[in-house]
Amino acid sequence: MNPTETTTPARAGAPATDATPRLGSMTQNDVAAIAARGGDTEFLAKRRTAAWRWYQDTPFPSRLDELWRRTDISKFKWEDVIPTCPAHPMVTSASALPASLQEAIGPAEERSALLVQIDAETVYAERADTFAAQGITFAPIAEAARLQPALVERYLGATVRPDENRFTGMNAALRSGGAFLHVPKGVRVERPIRIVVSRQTPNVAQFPHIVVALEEGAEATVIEEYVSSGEPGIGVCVGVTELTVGDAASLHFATFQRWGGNVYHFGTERVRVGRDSRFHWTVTELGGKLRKADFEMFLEGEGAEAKLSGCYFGSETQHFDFHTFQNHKVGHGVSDLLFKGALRSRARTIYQGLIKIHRDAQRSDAYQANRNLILSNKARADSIPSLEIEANDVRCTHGATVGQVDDEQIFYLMSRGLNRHDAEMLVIGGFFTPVLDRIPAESLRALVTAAVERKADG
Amino acid sequence: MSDQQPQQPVLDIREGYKEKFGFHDDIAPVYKSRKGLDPEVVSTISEMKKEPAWMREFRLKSLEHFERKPMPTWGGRLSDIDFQDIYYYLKPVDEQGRTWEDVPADIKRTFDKLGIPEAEQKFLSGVGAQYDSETVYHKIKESLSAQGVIFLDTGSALEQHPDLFREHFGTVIPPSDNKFAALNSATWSGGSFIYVPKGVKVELPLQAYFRINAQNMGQFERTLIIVDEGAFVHYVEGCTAPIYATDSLHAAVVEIVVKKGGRCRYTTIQNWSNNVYNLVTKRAMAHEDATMEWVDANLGSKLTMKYPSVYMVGRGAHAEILSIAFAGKGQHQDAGAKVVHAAPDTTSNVMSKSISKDGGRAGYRGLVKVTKGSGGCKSTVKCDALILDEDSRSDTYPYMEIEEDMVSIGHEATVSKIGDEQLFYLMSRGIPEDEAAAMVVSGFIEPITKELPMEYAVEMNRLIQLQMEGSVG
Repeated sequence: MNPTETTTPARAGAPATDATPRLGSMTQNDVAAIAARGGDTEFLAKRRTAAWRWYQDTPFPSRLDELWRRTDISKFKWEDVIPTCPAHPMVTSASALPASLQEAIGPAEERSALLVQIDAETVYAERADTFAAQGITFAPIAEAARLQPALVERYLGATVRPDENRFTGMNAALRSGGAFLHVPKGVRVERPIRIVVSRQTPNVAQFPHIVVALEEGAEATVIEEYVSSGEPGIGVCVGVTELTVGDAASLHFATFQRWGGNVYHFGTERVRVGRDSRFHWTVTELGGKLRKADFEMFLEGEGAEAKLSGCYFGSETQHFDFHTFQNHKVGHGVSDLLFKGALRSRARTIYQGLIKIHRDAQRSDAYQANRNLILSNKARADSIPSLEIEANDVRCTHGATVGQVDDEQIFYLMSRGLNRHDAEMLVIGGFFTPVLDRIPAESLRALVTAAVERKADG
Repeated sequence: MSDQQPQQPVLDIREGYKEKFGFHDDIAPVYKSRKGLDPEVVSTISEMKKEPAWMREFRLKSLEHFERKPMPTWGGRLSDIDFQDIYYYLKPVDEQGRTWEDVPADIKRTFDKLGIPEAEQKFLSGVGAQYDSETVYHKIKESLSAQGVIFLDTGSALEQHPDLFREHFGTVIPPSDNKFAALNSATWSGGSFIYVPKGVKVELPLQAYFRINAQNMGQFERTLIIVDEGAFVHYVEGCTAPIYATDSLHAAVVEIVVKKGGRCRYTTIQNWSNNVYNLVTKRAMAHEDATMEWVDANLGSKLTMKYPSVYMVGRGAHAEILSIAFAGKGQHQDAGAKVVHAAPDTTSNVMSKSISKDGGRAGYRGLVKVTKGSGGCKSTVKCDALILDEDSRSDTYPYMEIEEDMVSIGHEATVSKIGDEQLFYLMSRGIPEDEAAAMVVSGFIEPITKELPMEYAVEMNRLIQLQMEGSVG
């Protein structure tokens, strides 16, 4: 394993605090400065400028938008957001990363590559020796654009466009860090590739953009992780994740979010899956103060199979608003979604899911289930699983439940000598097991399971 | 399938009637106020009806709400409605003005071919004032009033029972509820008023047909039903015969109050001709241990947006909503249900069956809400949709908003086509394909049709057969 030979230009290292422009007073020149500092190629810099204009001209979604009816961001002070931050020095080995991240990145033998972003900068990159020979590209976006301009131009923005809404525009204009992964035709990546986005400077915003493209027949497992331990002030993350799974390719993608309780995270994550490809998404959402996320799967080739297994656990005053979209654009596709959540104390969760079967997508098979376990009478769960079906030769089923811990199960366990608390823990654990079992990488699975247990324990 | 490809010839139910029976209505109404809506028109309506001042105020306030409220941006396409191109009040036909003899012969022929009894034909063709209900239903009416049951058209109820009326009117659906409820509150005319006293159980279903000197089913009818403690009533509105309307907007409001331990069932069979926008607000307030049941079948209209709802405000209240939506060519049925659990130990059951065909769009839009402090609630929602061809569409939009932990809420939905195996089996028994398909569809909605009064269930199945004729190829 090699520490990266990064080509990122030397940083100015100016300790920007009060002098750093806030989002409200930013100009085109500040955007150009971010581009220069991040080492953008001409293509990337132009893209930023165009996105900045779009962002300036586009209002934030309001509560009149169906997907924003239940999350009010009108009082959020965007103008105070600080989009850049002082440079962090690159580290040359994983062991030099902050101690709090050691657990997150897991043991070296469980990964084939790793990118770590802290605040607005990539601070560490490593990749297996074999990557070069296999022709795999894995680097922060600016670096990838210098190494493989054609690939970056082909896949950047191909799945999530900057001009979709104000958030995607903001991400493209102010992009920081992020990752670009390209796996060539027929190449199989043995061990998981990990992308860690973390933060430590108060009030700084991050705009990570993660791009993954698998060519025909390629196989990979990729883990994106958002982690912090609750530095003072607030944290803002506006992310875009776009995945392309080529024909007959196979991608297992894991999203693990365990921000500290001060973070507002808005994310648009979408995958396009090609003919006869396999895609599996495991989503775990535990942290943050406000989390708004779209997880969208577009089935674009016949015979595609897309699966999403999600789990969320809200507590305190956490606000989670998830939207899933199973978009069957062509026929003979299978999508299968299971999204399970628990709520404690005053948590508020919204699950809004849509299965759409387009007119020509005959012989589609789609399933969508949302299960909620409410553990407190002050919590609130909304569930809106929807179907829009325009083809007739299809099988579509969905279900949603909201309920409490089953008294009979508790009674049974207590009759076997467990106390109520342990019995409840066991039942909650059992509720999540079917989802947690699907998480890739043993260390990650253990980490997630422990984190869920901690939350369950209150 | 592209638009260029030859389309299967389609027999639409209403087209079918037209072709087969030459059913249409060219009758010019005797009197109309001017088109459009403003405070003057609303005041005129109130004056013509000789209403008390408070109702006039209520109407004018409602008009303000109507003007302020935005059009819904969801559901169906509403942009074609021109509120200024509508007559908001038709003076009730003069007693001598319109008789059975005036009804065009072709309409009479249509009714004959459908096998509708003459008394009901008269009602349907708008000569209700001459409708000889006195003799037919005299006994029923007598026994009802002996029990203290009030069954009047809403306007007469305001006149004859002002206190009872005012106590409940507009309490379940305030004018500010939505744009169309506001419109109705400003312009309402006709509809039924029912009061069932404590402990009285009305054995026979009450039907709109029975109304004495009733106005015809109007554009902006307003129905108010009060079921007192421990009482029971079953009300049936609409009929399976297509109701031809020259007016393209129907915005009714139905308010129901079911008091402690009472039970009300409200059955609707909606079969407006397919030029009609049917935008109806129906809501019931169910008190302690009360039961409210909506059986709601939507077959007609161009666009229906209707979500019968039950607000359970007393402990142990129960709601039951059964919904059928059948959308054929050019139709959009945005049907559904709303249950609000606002008291502990309340239970609800929603079953929806939707069928779309020949490019029609049928859907379920529903809400299950449990408010804070309403522990022990249980709710089950089950939606099934059948899409009969590749041009048609089905939508399911269930909303669940749960603010309580001691609950059990479930929603399930499936969308599918007619099972090839079922068709194959029936056809192997010598049944032609379209009949077999009609049988499958009838079986699909059977859980709901079995809840209809028998004659309606029979007619419903006949309608389905008609809809399905020549539909499979």
